[in-house]
Amino acid sequence: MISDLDSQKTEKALMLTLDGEQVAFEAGETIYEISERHRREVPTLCYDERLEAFGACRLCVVEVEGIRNPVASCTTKASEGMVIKTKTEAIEKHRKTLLELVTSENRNVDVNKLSGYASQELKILVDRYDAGTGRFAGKKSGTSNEKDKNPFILRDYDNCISCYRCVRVCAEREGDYAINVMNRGFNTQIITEFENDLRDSECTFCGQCVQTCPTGALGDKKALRDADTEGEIKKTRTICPYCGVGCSVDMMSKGDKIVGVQPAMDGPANEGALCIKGQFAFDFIQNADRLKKPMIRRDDGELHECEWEEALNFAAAGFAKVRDKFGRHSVYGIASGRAPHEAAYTMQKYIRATYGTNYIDNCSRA
Amino acid sequence: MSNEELIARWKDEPAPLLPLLHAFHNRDGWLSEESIRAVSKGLKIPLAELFGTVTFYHHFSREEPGKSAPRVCTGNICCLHGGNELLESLKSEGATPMPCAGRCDDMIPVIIGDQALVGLTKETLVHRATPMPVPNPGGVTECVFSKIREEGRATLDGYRATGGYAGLEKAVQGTPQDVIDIVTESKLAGRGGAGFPTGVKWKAVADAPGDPKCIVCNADEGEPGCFKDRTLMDHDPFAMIEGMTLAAFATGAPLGLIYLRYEYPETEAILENAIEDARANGLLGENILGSGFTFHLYVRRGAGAYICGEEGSLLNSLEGKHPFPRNKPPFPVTHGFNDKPTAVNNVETLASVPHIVANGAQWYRDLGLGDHPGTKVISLSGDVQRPGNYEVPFGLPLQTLIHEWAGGPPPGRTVQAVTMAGLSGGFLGGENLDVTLDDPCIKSKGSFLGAGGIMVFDDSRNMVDAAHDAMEFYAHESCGKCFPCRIGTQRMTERLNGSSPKLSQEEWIAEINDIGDTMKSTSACGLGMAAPHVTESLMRYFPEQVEAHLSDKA
Repeated sequence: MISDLDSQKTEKALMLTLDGEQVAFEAGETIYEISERHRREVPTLCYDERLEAFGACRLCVVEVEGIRNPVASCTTKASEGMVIKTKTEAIEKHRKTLLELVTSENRNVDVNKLSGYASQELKILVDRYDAGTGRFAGKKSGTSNEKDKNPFILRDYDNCISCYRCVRVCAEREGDYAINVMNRGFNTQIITEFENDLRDSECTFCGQCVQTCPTGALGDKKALRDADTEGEIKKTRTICPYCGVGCSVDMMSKGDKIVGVQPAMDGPANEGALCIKGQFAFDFIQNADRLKKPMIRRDDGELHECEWEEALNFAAAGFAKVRDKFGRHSVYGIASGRAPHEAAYTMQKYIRATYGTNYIDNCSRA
Repeated sequence: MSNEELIARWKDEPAPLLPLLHAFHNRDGWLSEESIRAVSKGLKIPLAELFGTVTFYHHFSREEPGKSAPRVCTGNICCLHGGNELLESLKSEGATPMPCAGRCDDMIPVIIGDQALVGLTKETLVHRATPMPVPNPGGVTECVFSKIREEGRATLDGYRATGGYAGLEKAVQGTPQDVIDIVTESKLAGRGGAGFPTGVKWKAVADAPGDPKCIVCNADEGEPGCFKDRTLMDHDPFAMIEGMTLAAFATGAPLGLIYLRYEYPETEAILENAIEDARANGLLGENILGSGFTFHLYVRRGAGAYICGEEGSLLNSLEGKHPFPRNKPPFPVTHGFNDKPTAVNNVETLASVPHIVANGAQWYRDLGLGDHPGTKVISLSGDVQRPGNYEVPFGLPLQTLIHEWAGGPPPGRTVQAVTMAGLSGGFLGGENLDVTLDDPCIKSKGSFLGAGGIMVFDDSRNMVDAAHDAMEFYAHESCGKCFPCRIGTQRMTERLNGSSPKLSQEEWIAEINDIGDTMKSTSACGLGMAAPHVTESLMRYFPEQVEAHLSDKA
């Protein structure tokens, strides 16, 4: 049964007309958010739902009755009684023209999917609007930064469309303020201070700029090592092993090979964020130097492979000897941040119960 | 002064970034990496952000010789007078071009250091005062120019001796609402071009919650072909200051900021002196005229960016942010400087107010012709015999202004086209030169009066070239935020100078039309919306010149 309070609330619900349909909305919602909820497929390039709406690409413009020009739906708050049309012929033509303009400034629309999470956004829209027409040809914008030899982030600004999602994610989500916009107009260029390398800037290589870039201008250099590796990209959802935050990640693999990591935009702990380790430091998994069997240093001074039984007995004897000679606090355990929680628990229990010391720590605490 | 002393001088002042950057720029002549690092630290602005912001401004130099190198105006009108040749002759001294520097009624301006010189050749550059408007050729009653030619008007004594501060003295006897009422009744509207009713704006600021409120004078007269605010500030600075004080009284704002364009260095000194005199005589600061109301006024100098005349960009610039326009709503009347209620008014608007308060709303309304209330200063330049600022009653025929007031085109020439709103209204030509100077008439021709800059092109001029120079200006000044303007102005420029790939006439026209339609409909601010007026009117009035342009390039 509907209580009086609820029916009152229903009466007062804010309503607007979206493409002829009456829809309810909450105060403060933008036209874009409402349109998305009703699956209107309003195109965007500068939009990232985690960031403050910016209103640069103008693809999300819609018609609002009583307002002469179309409005950017991402920055326009809905109001009671608005009559909105998201897909008129005129609006769709503007969107196509805008995409043709964007395509005309860009060297390459078709980029490898390994570049980053959002890297296909421009290509998908250009295909959808059939905007790869070659119209509006002229000077290209943006200059690729080839001198920045950092090992993680490709800065191929030849493909930059100046949506500033990278600048905004760096400031609003990561708080690094490492990059910004230099110059103005057609000459804008994404830079660090004094056009330095990222390594000389405030950049922490979290990779969020890479993952929000809609064109692959910023690319994941580590993943792109496998651009030519055979096979489809498979994504496996897991939790980053490095620390206690528990960021959700999608491990990308081709065949048996892990080729890269992408943050899960719907990860409850991270909402698309990662740190340098979670984003880029996965090579150890498949590294050729990785130990697959235990080793013992024999009398000849060299390490020799052995079986687990022997190795554990050897280690136990060594620890027991130290404890007996120097006391229980002579042992200090540090669990690896890469180990799962169960292993971390076992580790502390082992140190506490076996040696009688509280000298137990985890490298993630640092 | 040392870095630390400069930072200490400015960091607790309102809107400190621009004056602090200028302080370093003035000390060294350019902004070194060390200076930018010091400012970043001193004002706690992230270094990359500050660096990006510095690069936004045309006149902040990041290398020597910096500001001591000549900057030569290559605006539309100066190009007609040989601006490019003058630039070439000064290249050996490190000269660089600058967009319209707001002195189209004079010879070509060249800024060296903090002086704006004028001349037609390198050898004849002179430093001289801004031209005074000639006595009204139509003999009509003026508002903002009514006292400007009086001896000593630019001094406080001279200003008071010619009726100055009568409005404020009258106002403080009454209530703030009285001032809002009289300004509303006068039908004064924004003279910077947008034409928003001034009284309504002030009422909105007065009623908006939040303190401290702020009055911002938009003196970033960046529109090419506009130079009226310069004349008003140089020859009648107290009128604008009194107008701001009246605005402050009406809205309850204790803080005022004048955002002055970089290209007017002498004006900055004039305003600073005037403010100091007003302060010393109890006309600014605490307890103005003994009435208990407080208004502190400061000048902030821009650094070369047309877009900073857009109020959102202007406010971001004052706040030390990257000067992109702001998304609206919210509007400055509720969320302006530092997100507090703010009235942003043009110089001419503010300079009109003391006259209106002193003489009454009815007096002002009656100055216009027919149903059009009030007057407008028109900056007339280009191919006319007497370029200059003319205060016209709204409704005056354009032909009267050009031919009777300003002497018409050079002998033997006819008027081919004029621009409207500086460049923002595009061109008028043919029979549409028979407009009257009021927005209902000009808007009916697809243009608008705007800030009142009118450039005249006689029949010897190539209008495709004129359109190109205009579009190149927009491309140079596009902030780079919204896609249609950032890319559209560039593509239009390429199509007007023939540097784009070869296109058939049909393709060329279709591309220009499609870009223009999308820019007008989807751009985020007035710059991108206005720029297509240039191409639209070019094709409308001069299709044969467009055709010749295209066949030349074929």
